Amino acid sequence: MKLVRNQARFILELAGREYRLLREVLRLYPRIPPGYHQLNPTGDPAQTAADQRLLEEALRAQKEESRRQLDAWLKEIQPPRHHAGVWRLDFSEAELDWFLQVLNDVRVGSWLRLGAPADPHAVELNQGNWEDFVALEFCGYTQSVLLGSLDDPS
Amino acid sequence: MMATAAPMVLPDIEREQDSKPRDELEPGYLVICWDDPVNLMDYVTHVFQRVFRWTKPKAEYHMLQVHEQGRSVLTRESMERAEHYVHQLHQYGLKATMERD
Repeated sequence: MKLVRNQARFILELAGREYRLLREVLRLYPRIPPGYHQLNPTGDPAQTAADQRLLEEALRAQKEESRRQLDAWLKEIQPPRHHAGVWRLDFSEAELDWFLQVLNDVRVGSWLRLGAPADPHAVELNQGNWEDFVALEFCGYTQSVLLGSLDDPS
Repeated sequence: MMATAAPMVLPDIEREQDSKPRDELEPGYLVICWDDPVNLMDYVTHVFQRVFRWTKPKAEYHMLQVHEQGRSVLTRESMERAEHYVHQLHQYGLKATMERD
């Protein structure tokens, strides 16, 4: 997996196995449950409850729109014809930022489903949680590749 | 031969005409980002750069403050602006709150 900058566009190149895993992971979006984010845990309780409801509604609407955008984007991906079977996903800078948000949502949501452990690698894996661990790790890896390449001026 | 002494340059210091004592400022809200064990350090830096239009060194400074001290006060704003920033940070998946200053 690598990110290549082509003038104002970014191309994420993936091997076939990486691409299939990415599709599976993106199926999980959105994954952070409503109520995870708190606006002001120390404020006036009545006002805080009203503000919290508004916050959750706004986040829910934003994620529904983001899910639609993700589905439309996935539909437009063309299978590789050349490039030795390499999948090439094309992003503008704004789309890349949005994609990082999507990956982070799946990553944080998967971590919460694992029980929000201080060290996810210490969690004992079983039939019920291995998918969460794989999603956490793969999203983290993909985020690191994207962020590392964003910083690289070449 | 004597070395030529470089001219001493003093910084321009002017009194800010508009600055007010803290208790005369309008009520403000602090936007605070909290540490969590899951968000990647590079990602947090990226988010601060995007949301606040900060330079990378400034974004990294606040990211490290979050990481090492458990929280960082990112900005002080009106209630509306503070809510806007907190909402943006939540969209990115960071733990952020606002509190009255």
